Amino acid sequence: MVIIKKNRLIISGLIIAALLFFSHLIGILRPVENFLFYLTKPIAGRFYKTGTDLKIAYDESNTQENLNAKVERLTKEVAVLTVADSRSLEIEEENRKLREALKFVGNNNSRVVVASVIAKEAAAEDSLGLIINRGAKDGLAAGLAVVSEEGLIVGKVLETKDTTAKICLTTNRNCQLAAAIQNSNRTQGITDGDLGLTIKMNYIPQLEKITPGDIVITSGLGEHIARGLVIGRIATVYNESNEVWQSATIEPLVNLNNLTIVAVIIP
Amino acid sequence: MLKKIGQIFFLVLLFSGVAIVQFSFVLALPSVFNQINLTVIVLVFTLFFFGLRPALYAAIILGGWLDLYSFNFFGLYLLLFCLTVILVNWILKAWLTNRSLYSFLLLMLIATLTFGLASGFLFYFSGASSGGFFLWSGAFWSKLFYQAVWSELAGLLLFSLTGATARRFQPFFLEKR
Repeated sequence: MVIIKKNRLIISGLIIAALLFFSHLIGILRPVENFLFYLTKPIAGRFYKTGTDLKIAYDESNTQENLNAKVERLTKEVAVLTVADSRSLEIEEENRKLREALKFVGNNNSRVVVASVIAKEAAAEDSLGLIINRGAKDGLAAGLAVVSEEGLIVGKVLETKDTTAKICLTTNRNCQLAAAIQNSNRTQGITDGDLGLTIKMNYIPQLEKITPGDIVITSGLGEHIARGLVIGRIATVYNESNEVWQSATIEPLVNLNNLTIVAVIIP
Repeated sequence: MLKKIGQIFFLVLLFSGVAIVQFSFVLALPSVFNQINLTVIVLVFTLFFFGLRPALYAAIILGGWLDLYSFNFFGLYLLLFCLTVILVNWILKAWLTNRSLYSFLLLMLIATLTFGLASGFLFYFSGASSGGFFLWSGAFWSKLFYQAVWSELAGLLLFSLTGATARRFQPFFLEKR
């Protein structure tokens, strides 16, 4: 009794914490939680954008000397891509005419939900993903593809609450995607994040010919994620003649650490 | 009465702001700067200068907000902050005889280490951590090191500012009878 009297403040604090926990568990607090989310999501989004802008400015100031080389490389890439784009436009037009001729009906009814990143989810040793300001009430569900403003896939939805969702980035461990390489064999495999920096594709048969620069896209074999979303480009191929498998690291084509606006594709 | 309500409202706003800044702004900063653990710094500061009751309010408000936005099990941060406050309070009462800069920095260090290790255990056993056992992870210890450094620097700054601002908060010695 003396111990309880001496520590009554601590015990009161623990009781309040326990009450909050059980109230959340049985759902009484949900209207209050949704109201608090409604109030604070715009503020959190603003803070996150400011923090990310600071991060971009800090990173750019450290890599000034690489920028000229990067500009030159990108100018050449633009020229190559312009040629490829014009060819693909021709193929698209041909495809459309053939579909009309065969009366082939496409089934692309997907819609896109645009979301702002409002926070990062931090775990013990690394960041596990981003939190966005759209949730189950906007039609989001676990497993949906998340793309950047440029249309490149940057991750997928892991969990949803009513008005927020957690997404994992393609560079996070355990964020796996069914992928295909745009090479002559159309090699298929699973990509997985590596240390939050790059993406790896393991267990590629030795007979498959893959080269640095090949584009990796989603294969469409994963649930909820359509085929054709660009994951990245093959950076390095690890091929030992005495190994059964080869592996490759994939470089994302956007900086995944500076995302502030994303879109979720709902099939 | 109105003054008390006003004070409580101010505290709720202040701690809520700290929580939002922590999970939205701080974690978006470049790599070394995003290791600052504002919540633990504010918790220890509140406990040291204002006592246990405001520190417990801070723990519940900070923990509530972080649990609201987090996708880990609800109550994880509530538990972590309450545990940290209880342990630091016990060390302050049982072991430290004065409220000086050194005791403040020591408490800050203990709070940071306690929070870091406890969160590591809880994240690991709740399945939120994606790698192997966290104690064998270099990234965990590196993160804890930077958090401790930032906490100590923040503690130094806060103590100096507070001591310069008000006589009430200047260090004093307790005589044991």
